[in-house]
Formats: sequence, structure tokens, C-alpha cells
Amino acid sequence: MPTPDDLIDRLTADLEPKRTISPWLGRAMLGATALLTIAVLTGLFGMRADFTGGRPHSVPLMSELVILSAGCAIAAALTAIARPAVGAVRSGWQWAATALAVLPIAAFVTAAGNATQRALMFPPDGPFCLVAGTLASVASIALLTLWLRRGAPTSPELAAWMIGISGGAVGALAVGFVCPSDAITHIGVWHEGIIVIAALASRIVLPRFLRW
Amino acid sequence: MRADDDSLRRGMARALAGDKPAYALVLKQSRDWLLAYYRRRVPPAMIDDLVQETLLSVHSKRQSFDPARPYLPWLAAIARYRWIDALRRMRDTDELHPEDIASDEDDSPIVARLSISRLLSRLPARQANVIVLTRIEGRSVAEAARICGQSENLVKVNVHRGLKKLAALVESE
Repeated sequence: MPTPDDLIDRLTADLEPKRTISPWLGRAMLGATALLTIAVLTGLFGMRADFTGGRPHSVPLMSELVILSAGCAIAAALTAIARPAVGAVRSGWQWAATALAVLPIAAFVTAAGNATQRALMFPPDGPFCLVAGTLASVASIALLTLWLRRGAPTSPELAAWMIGISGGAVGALAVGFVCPSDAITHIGVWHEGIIVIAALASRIVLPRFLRW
Repeated sequence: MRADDDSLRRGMARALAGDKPAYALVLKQSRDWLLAYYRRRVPPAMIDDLVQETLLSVHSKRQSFDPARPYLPWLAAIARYRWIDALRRMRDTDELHPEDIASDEDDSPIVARLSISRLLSRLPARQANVIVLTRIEGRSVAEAARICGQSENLVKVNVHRGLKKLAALVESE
């Protein structure tokens, strides 16, 4: 290894102007990818009738809003960790992730006391939502990974969790536009399952791509 | 010259625009700051390598610096990341490296020892003891096993788990 002074001379000689990484650009790119994902899914399978008719059912609408707001909060925190700083408090994403647990909790509580809702928890189209939503999350996960590699995430494992949850939220959001179910038991299990799978897969696969 | 955060921040902002003299000054002041930072945290034999690795990271990740924010917290985050990386490498290496052992050349091993002791005090005694014996005092696994009354395999497991926990502690600080 050269001496520190040799290294400084070499790095200085290598210097070229560079644009700083912008969290807002990352957020905008994720937003555009989410819109594209929703467009592709609704183009392939058609948007649910109550959404196109402008009279959305309250349960899927509320679920979509919960996923959207929590996903936005986690994506905002994720894009901020591209620029590290000791002392910066970035724990808000954990509350947003906790908010996502509202839907499965509501699903299981509802199913516990209601046989009809319990039957809706395992409908034949449940796996379709899970698979379509998981595949739909891949583009957002890939985009966030590539974007974050330009930054300096100091905890690749944490970044991987956050990428998975954000990307999974995009997939769950997109599938909510095409899935005809109004049941919280279906949404809480099969749509939120997309986020769980995306988060776990990202945690396992992504850290090696995020180390620097 | 002592690093002043505001001049470093402005220097790095100019460096991002391609100003080489400003960048050289920022790197030199960063080197001095990093030497002091690592002196309190790692054995002397590791300091130079870590400083150089951190300077390389500063260079390759300079686009992650926000010129509207202070420079030293950014540098400290990168330094901590490299330190954790070094701890992980130590954890993943079974063999001991004599150069990792603290020397008596100056008082920095004492300072490093104090900082490490603070972290080690947060580990279970069975893990902290074997880390001190094998990674700081440089004893063999067999010697550490005899001193602590643990089997050699258990010493290896405790060193591995202890260093993993140590990295997590540093990360959470």
C-alpha cells in the first residue's frame, strides 16, 4: 500500500467534478416507477370496477392509502441514508413499518370472530395477488438498489430491509388496483404478504450489492 | 493544522466542482482527523491501513456528501463504516495477525485499549475475555482456552460471536 501522502496525491490527480446524489431524485424515480408498475398491471389485468367508476369501496381504498403513506415514509428515509452522517436520527421509518402491520392485524382480528371473513382469507385468487404483486415489486427494488449504490449506506442490512419494504409496498399498492376483493382478511394476508416476501428476499440478497 | 468543519465543508464543495488544491487540503486534514479517530479505537498496526481505506472511500463516495451539511459527521460516518468492516474482517479471520497486537511505542495503545474496553464491557464476560486474550494480547486459541477454562472450539465461537456483537454495538452508537 502507498503512504497516505502518495495516496492523497493520486486521489487528487484523479479528481473530476461530480454531482452529489439527490434524495429527491431517488424519490421521484421511485414515484415514476410506481406509476409505471400500476399502469402495467392495470393494463394487463384491468383496474377494479369501483376505482374506475369513482366509487371506491372503503376497505381497499383505506388499505391502499395506508400502504401508500407508509411506503412513502420508508422510501423517504431510505433515500436519506444514501448521505450518511453520524448523529443523524433516522428512526421514523420503523414507525411507518409498524403502521403497515395494521392491515394484517386487522385481518386476523376480523377473521378470529367472523367465519365468513375467515373463509375469505384463503380465496383461490390469493396466490395470484401474491405472485403478481411480488413480481411487480422487482422493478422498484432494482431501481432503489442501483440508485443507493451511488450513495454510501453505512448499514447495508438495514438498507436492504428498507429497499424490500419500499419495493414491496409498490407491488402491494399496484396489485390493490387490480384485485377485486374488498375483504380486509384477503388484503391483510395476500397483499401485505408481498411486502413480507420482498423484505425478506431483499434482506437475504441485497446486502452484498450494497457494501462498499 | 486543526480541521475546522466549515472550511472543510466549503473545501469539499469546491472539490466536488473539480478544485484539486481544495481537495488535497481536505484530504490532508481528513487524514489527520482520521489518525486521531482510529488511534482511540484500533491497535496501532491497523491505523495506517484504515486511514487509507477511509480516504479511498471518501474519494469513491464523495457524491454522497451534501455541501449544505457539516463535513465531519459525514467523514465520521464513513470512518465508522470502515471500522465496522475491519471488525468484521477480524471476526471472519481465524488466524491471529501479530501486527494487530498493540505495541508500546506511544500512548495510543492505552487510549485504544480504553475505548475498546468500554465496548467490551457491554459484552458477556465469556466473550470479552477471549477477545482480549486472542485479539488484543495475541495469545493462541489453546492458551486462551486454558486460561478461561473453555474448550478451543468454544473460544473460537465466543470470539466470533463477540466480534459480531461488537460490530453491531459500534454500528448502533
